[in-house]
Amino acid sequence: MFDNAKAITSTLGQERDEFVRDDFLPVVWSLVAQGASVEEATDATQQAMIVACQKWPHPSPHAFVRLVAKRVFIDATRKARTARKLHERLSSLYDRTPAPAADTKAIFDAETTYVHGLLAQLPKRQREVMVHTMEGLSAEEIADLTGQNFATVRSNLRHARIKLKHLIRIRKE
Amino acid sequence: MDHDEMPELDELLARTRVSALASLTEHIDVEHHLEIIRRACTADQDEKAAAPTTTPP
Repeated sequence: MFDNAKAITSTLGQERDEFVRDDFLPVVWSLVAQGASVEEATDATQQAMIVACQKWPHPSPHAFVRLVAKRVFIDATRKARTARKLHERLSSLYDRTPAPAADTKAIFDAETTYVHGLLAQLPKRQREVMVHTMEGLSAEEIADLTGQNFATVRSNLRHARIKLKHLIRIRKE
Repeated sequence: MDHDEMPELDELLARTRVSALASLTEHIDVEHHLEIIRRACTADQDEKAAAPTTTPP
């Protein structure tokens, strides 16, 4: 009985480890492509993975961890914005410049940086749908994950593609 | 959807994700984060196991 319980725990541990190994970087990239720095995305992903693993076995860990990571990132961004405002106010008092943002250009190649720049020009909802589509999620899965209805997801994706094509054409001309 | 209109867009987007993940692989030590996650989960399990039960015997 005890050995059996131990074996189940061990299998769950292996599944959890595989999940972290397979999904960690894709979740980090998903946040980076939506505007996070690599550092912010890594922290948010780690926190989300901890929550997912504490609830292990989870029925849909891939969607759950993306949802939690996004929330953690948004929460951290709000706190950082408040801190930055305070910092700027104090900097102006003491005549200092604010700290520079994390440099993702040092990590990604020129083409990736260019595409991240294109994605940044999309409205938030379109960018979110586009990034999850790039990850291979279906419109139904994106609807579940983002809380948008199916038709809105399809519409956002269509508009995102049109806008990206337009931006690429402008660059070529 | 108009996927056929601009296949270069799909190729570019697919290439970007692969390339971005390759770059992240070089910069992020996933095994290090996995160890932190494992420890956090073990600590959580230990805490739950040590917590007194509220249900009557």
